[in-house]
Amino acid sequence: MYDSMAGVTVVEVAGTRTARFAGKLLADVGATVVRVSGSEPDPYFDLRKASTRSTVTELLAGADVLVTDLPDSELAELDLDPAELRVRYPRLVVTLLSALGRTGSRAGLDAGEAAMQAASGFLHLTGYPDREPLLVPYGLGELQLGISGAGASAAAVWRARAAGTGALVEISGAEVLASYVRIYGAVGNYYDIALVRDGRRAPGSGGRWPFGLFPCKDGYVALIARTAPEWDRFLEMLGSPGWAKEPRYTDVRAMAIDYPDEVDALVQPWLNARTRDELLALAQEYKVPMAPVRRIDELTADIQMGYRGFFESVPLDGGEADIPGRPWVETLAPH
Amino acid sequence: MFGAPKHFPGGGAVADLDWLAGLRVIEVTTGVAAPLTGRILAELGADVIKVESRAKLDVNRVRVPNAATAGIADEETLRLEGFGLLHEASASKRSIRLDLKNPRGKDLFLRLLDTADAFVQNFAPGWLERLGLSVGGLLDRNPRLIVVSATGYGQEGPLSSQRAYAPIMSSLAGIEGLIGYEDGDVVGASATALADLNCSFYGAYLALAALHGRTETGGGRHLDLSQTEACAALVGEAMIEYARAGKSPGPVGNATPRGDREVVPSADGGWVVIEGLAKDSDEYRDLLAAGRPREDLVSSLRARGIRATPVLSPDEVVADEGFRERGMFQQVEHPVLGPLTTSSIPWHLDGAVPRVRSSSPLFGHDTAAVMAELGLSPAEIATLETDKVLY
Repeated sequence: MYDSMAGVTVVEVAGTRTARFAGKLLADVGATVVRVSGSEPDPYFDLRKASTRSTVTELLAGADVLVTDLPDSELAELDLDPAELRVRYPRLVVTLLSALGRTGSRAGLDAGEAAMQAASGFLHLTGYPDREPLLVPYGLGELQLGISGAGASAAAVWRARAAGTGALVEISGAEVLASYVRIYGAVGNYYDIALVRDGRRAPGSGGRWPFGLFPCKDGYVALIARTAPEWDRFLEMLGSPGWAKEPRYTDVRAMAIDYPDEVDALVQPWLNARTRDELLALAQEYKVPMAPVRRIDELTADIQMGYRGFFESVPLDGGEADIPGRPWVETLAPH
Repeated sequence: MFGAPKHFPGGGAVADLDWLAGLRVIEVTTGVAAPLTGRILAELGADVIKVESRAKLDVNRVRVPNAATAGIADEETLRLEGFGLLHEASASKRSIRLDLKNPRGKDLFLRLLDTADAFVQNFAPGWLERLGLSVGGLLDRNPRLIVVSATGYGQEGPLSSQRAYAPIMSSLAGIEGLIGYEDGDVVGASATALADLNCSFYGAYLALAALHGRTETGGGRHLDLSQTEACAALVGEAMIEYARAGKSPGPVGNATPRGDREVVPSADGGWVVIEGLAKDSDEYRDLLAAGRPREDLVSSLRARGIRATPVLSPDEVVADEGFRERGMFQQVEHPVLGPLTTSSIPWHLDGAVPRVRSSSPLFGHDTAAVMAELGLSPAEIATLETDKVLY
C-alpha cells in the first residue's frame, strides 16, 4: 500500500516549500525522491526522501522526474537548462514550478508566496472590508502549487512510460489559485453577489445566511446552512425562537446580503453561551453544518482523524512531534 | 523553448491532450471537489463518463434559474444546465442517465465499471453499500479498478456522517484558526472554499499516481480521501512549530517573522503587497508618501528591485493580460447558454494548457451512445428509457 509509484525516481531541487511539497507527495505514493540539497531535512516536508550531495546531472540519467521551483537564473547557475535537459534526457519529465509562470510578460519577475495570493484574486477575498487584505500564512499558494506539481508529474510519467517521451510541465502558483477563485467565484457570479472580502463571512453569506465563522464561548465555530431543511434544523437547534417567524427573517437572500449583521446579532447570544464542543455535539444531534475552529494544539485530539490514524509521529530535537500523515486510507484490490 | 503549440487569438497556447487516451473514468459525483477531479482527468485525455439520474442529481443541477438566463430556455432545462459552477466543475465529460436504484440500472452500472480504469465518487458515506455496491465488491469484480472516494471526513468513523461544507472542514483541520490580523483574532478565509478545491487537485494527484500501481491483472485500489485531512496536510509546518515552541500558533497578520512584508493602500484605492522594504527606510517613506496609483507604485518598487504585487480582484484577474496571454481562460460554446468562459486547468504541458473539450454535457446527453458501446441495441435502449432505467 501507499506504493503505487514505486520504481519511479524523482530528483527534487527545491528552493521553497513548493518543490519540497511536490516531492513529499510523490514520496507519499512510493516514488523514490532524492533531494539535492545541502540543507538539513525538514521534519515534515522531507519525510520519506533520500538526501544526496551529488550533483543534479549525476542523478538525472537514472531519473524519471526533475522537479524544481528554482528561478531560471538559479537553474542556469546549476547548468540546468530545461530545453537542453529535454534533449539530453528525452524520457525525463521536467517539472518547473514558479509563482507567476515562466513565459509571458511576468516571466522572470522576482515573486513568491505573496505574489501568488495577490495576483490570483485570492488575497482580495480575505480580511475585513475596511482593512487591508489578509494573507493566508504557511504557504497556501506554494502548497497548492506543490499538489499540482505532483499531480502533473504523475500524469507526465504515465505518458512518458507509455509513449517513450518525457515532457515539460510548467505551472504557476498564481494561476492555480486564480483557477480556484474563478471556479468557486462562479457561485457568486451566478447569484450576482459581489466578490469582496467580508471578514468572517463569505461575500453576501454566499446567498443564504449563515455562511462563515462565528464567535462562541471559547473560540469560534464555522456555521453554514445551504438548504431549507438545514435552516429549519438550525432554528430547531436554537429552540425555535419567535423572531424566526417574522417575515423579515424568512427572506434568506435578504438576510444574507442586506442585513446579515442584524441576523448575526439575534443568534450571537446563544452561541456566546456555549463552548465549541457543546456546539459540535448539538450540530451532531440536529444535523446542522457547524463545527469548531480548531487550534493547532487540538488537532491530534480530533476523534475522527484519530479514528483513521491520520497523524504520524517523527523525531524532533531529541523528542517527538506529531505531524499530518497521508490524508487517505488505501486498500488494495485482492490479488 | 516550449515547442510550437497552436496559439489562439486573445489566448495562450491550448492543446488537445492525449496523455490519458484509452483510459475510462466513471464518476458519480456532486458539488465541486470530486467533479473537478474528473474534469482534470478528462482534459488530460481520459474518457470521463458522469453517471447521473433524476433520482440522484448533482447539486449543481438543481439551481433556481438566475436573471441572466431567464427566458432562454424552459425552467427545467435552466435548473439542470444553467449554473455556472457546473460548467467549471464538469466540463469536458460525457453524461449518462442511469438509475442505480433500479436492479437493471445497477447491472448496467456494473457492466460499465467493468470497462473502467477509475471510479470517482463523493456522495455521503454508505450510499454505495445501500445499493449493494460496496467498494470491496467492486474491487473483487475488477481488481484493476482505481476507486477515489472523496468525502468530508472519510468513509468510516465517529464523525463520518457529519455535514461537510468547505469552511467546516478547513475549520476542523486547523487552517481557519491560523488566519487573522496581528491582533491574533481569528478571521479565516471561509469565502474561498479551499477545502473543496484542495481536494479536487489532491484527488487528481492520487488517481494519477494510482495508475502506476496497476499490473496486467490487478493493482487496483480504494483511495478513501478525507477532505478535512487533506486540509490538515497543509498545516504540517504549524504542527512542527507547535512541537518546537510549545505554544499553539495563531494569526499574525501579513508580516513575516522578519517583519518586512505588508499590504499597503495605493492612491487610487487599490492595494499592493510589498516585500523586503524596511518600514523605517527613507525609500519606504518616499515611495508611499508620493500618493502613487497602484500600477505606478508597483512599477516604482520593482524598478528599485523590491518585490511588489498588485492585489487583483477576481474581475481584474479575468481581464488581466498576464493571465490571458498564458491561456488561463477559454471560450466554449454551450448548446443552450451560448458562449461560456471557462477557467483552464492551469497545467502547461509541453507548452500548452489542456483544451476545455466542451462545457458540462447536457444532462444525459451521451446515454444512448454509451449504452450502444455496452452492446445494447436501439430497441433495448428504448425499452430501458420507457422503464425509467435510463432516467
